[in-house]
Amino acid sequence: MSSPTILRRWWNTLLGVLAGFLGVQSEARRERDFKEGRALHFVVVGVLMAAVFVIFVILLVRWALQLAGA
Amino acid sequence: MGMIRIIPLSCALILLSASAQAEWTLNLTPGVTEVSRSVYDLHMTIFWICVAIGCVVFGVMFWSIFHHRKSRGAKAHHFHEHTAVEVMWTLIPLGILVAMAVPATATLVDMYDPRDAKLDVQVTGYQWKWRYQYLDQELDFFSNLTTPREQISNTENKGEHYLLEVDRHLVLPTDTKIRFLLTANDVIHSWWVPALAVKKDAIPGFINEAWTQIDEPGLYRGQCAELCGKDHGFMPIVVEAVPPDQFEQWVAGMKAEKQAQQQASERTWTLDELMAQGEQVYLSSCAACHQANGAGLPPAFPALKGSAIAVGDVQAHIDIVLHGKPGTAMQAFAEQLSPAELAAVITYERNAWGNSTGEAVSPAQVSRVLAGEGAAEEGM
Amino acid sequence: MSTLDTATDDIGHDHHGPASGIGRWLFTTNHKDIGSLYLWFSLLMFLTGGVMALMIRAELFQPGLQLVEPGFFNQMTTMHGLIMVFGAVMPAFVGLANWMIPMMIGAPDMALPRMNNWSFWILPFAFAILISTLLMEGGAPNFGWTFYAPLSTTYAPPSVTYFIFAIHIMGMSSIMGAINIIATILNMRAPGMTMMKLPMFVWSWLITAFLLIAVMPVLAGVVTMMLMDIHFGTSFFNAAGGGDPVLFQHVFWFFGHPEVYIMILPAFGIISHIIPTFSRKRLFGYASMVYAMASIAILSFLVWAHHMFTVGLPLVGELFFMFATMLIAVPTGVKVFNWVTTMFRGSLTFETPMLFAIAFVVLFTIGGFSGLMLAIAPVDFQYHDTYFVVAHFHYVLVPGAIFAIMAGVYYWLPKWTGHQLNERMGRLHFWLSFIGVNITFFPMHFIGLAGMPRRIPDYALQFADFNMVASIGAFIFGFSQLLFVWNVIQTVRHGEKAQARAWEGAEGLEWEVASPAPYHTFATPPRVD
Repeated sequence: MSSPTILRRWWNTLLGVLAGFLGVQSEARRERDFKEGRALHFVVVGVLMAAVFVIFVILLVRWALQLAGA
Repeated sequence: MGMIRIIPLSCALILLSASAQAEWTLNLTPGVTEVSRSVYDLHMTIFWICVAIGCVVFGVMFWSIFHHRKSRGAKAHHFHEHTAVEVMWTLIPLGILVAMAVPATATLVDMYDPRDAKLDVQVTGYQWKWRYQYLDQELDFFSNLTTPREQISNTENKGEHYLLEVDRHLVLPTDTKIRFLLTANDVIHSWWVPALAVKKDAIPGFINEAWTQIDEPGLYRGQCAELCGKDHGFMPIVVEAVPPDQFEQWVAGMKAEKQAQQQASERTWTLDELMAQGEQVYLSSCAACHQANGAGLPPAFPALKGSAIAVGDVQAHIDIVLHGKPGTAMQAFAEQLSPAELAAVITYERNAWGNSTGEAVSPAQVSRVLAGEGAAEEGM
Repeated sequence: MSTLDTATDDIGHDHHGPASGIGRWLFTTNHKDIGSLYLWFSLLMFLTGGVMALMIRAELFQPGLQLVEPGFFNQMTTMHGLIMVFGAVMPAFVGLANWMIPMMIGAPDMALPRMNNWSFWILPFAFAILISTLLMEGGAPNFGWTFYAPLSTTYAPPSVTYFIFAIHIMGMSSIMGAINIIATILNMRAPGMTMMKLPMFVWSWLITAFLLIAVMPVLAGVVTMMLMDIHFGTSFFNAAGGGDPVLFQHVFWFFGHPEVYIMILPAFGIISHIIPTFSRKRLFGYASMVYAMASIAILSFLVWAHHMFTVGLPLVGELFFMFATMLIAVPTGVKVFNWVTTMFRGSLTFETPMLFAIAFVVLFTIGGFSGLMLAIAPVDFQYHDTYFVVAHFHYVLVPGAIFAIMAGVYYWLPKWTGHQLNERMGRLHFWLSFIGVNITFFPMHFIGLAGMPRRIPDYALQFADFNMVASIGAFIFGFSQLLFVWNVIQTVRHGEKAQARAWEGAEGLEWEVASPAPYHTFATPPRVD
């Protein structure tokens, strides 16, 4: 397996996780996720993206507070 | 505003409840402060957003229920995904909610800004009463429910402000920024007055902040909102908002009353006087737990009738009433009642329900115990 | 979605019939028997908790204290909540999982049958302990099902220790059940039943089971901290000893919010079977549904403090939990659109399970709307701890979780018993429940907005009318459940013979086996294409 495919695979996993966060996924992509993806990869990326989500919300709060001048 | 305040979905239910006993409302109060009005506006905005989304979703659903039934010969159309539609119906509500977050954040930031308050009131929750301390005015009093037990047990007709009436109102000046410092003595309580849109938990050992600025004079009633034990439903809040000059008068009046109380402690009381006063104090401060007949509700609330403390050593009796018993529901009453009231209630407990010790505890006796401590605490 | 290559037969295993007598139930390791035990137990707890609810509503019928003392009233609200959450809703879902998951994935039984037996049989003891506290000196737990410290520690009745023990046992039972379900789904699928083909109910339970394993230890932790505070002199939740009462709420809701999803995800699963069946159409957006549920499992851990907006969180915390809640709520909430779209342009019929499923979608959505309103922190200051919240969570739990359970029971009853249910009785039960539930809980929105706090035994006069209406509704709803009990018992004993595929549009492996399902199904694994 060449390295681009590995990168590609992680990228697809990331797209799958993001689709989960939005709550929308197409049948075709789901099939690809389940054929090519590894469960562990999804868990790792999922937890990572949850952390990113937390950081994103924290930044959002900071930005909102700055705007509000508090 | 009239139309907006009526929730359309309620029509059927209004018909069901034809017999109105007291004026009832369907919706949140807009309240009497700037903050409470913006809270009300937020509430109505999110409410109408929900109604609009509901109309669309339920509209499509009922359309299907009526037109796509098998009995009308409907054949199933086999489609089972459309990613673009799904993304759209996720992003649109998300966008609406994000838009909703903007005014919500502004209101919240405002609510969290108690700076430049002109008056500080410490609010302390007790099982089951509130204590108000005006920190700069050096006023300190408790506020107890005054609804008679007979009304609660249905032997008397209920008054207009049933369960929402107290002996001492929290008097506050209008047009003045007031800061509340909230804490509790025993368990968690929550101080809530809907008209002010202030609800904040009073947590033992910690101090929370909240603030308000009342626009209109009036009486505003609220209740404890956090389950705090047996009489959680019986510790109301009454805020009396008065113009600032009247507030000053009230402060002066309270100070004079305090002096009169002090004088009452110094004169001599007869046993009958103590018993009469003691019964009143007992019913408002003690009967919730120990019951009017002194039988208590063991094991949490022991009986006083024939109890070792009430017919035993006077000093021990004074001590437990003044200082409470840590780790139990028995509170320290030294700060809640005046020396005369304390003496009266202790006398009452030692002579009522067949506890005939015949002993009268004088206000001076109680004052001496208090003074002993006062001397020790003076240095603080 | 799947077809069978091999016929499903269970004959030729002479030693594999059910044992006779009480021993069958005590020592059973059969997933169907254990499923039935869970479901009957849950029904018993539902009726017990329901009687407590009716005592609460009877006291609240009029202002004033008529029937019970305030102390006993608090015991009723506490026990009602605990019994309904841990005794009725959760065991019912586990019961459905036991019955259906092996049949849906083509497995002969659960992966860990002996543990399955044990995880059920410790439950009756847990609830016997919990309910026996009502007879103890000082009475049962009276601090609400959320048991906030220090009301539940320093100021608790002595029976709190029994309560803690009971919660520990319930937690163990849930964890064992969850492990068993995960082991079954991951290891016991028939050849060809790939993860991609898992029915929605199985998916929903797989995710729920992971949530259970993650949060039940947190609950065990928080009650253990209480135990330490009460008996061993620690001060986790006592400010006087350097602790913090708010810590309790953080730990509790870190369990409590995922618990909300534990009680609703399997319901999503059930509804996602029933609506396609009676719409004669496949579920719209199966893939989205699975992905959304999977992400709920992670994101539900990030919003717990929206239950605590009034405890005095710092502004930053308040905003964080408000934003996170609003962002997460939407992608979850719009799953409702998928069910509506599944019905759209289908070929609908309205048998009892479908009626309950439609009511679920409508009323759960109303509960979702009030949930959105509650997410707005500044407005939540007015809603928090009022009847508005009571209305909200009863809308998601009663016509939400419980209607889904009833829909599931009516839907799979022909498979379990081999008899068609009495459809007329089922519809009567549905309409009485639907009307009763709305008369009970809709007015609670109004009394909450008008300012009535939760958990009070007596109230001011302006709340009187709607409380009376709610109490009448509660009695209609409560007594109409006797129709359910009667209908189930009648269907078990006799009734029209049910087909293997009991409903015209039903799909899935469970409908390939005979009705009633033989004691052992799929002893030879089927092949799924």
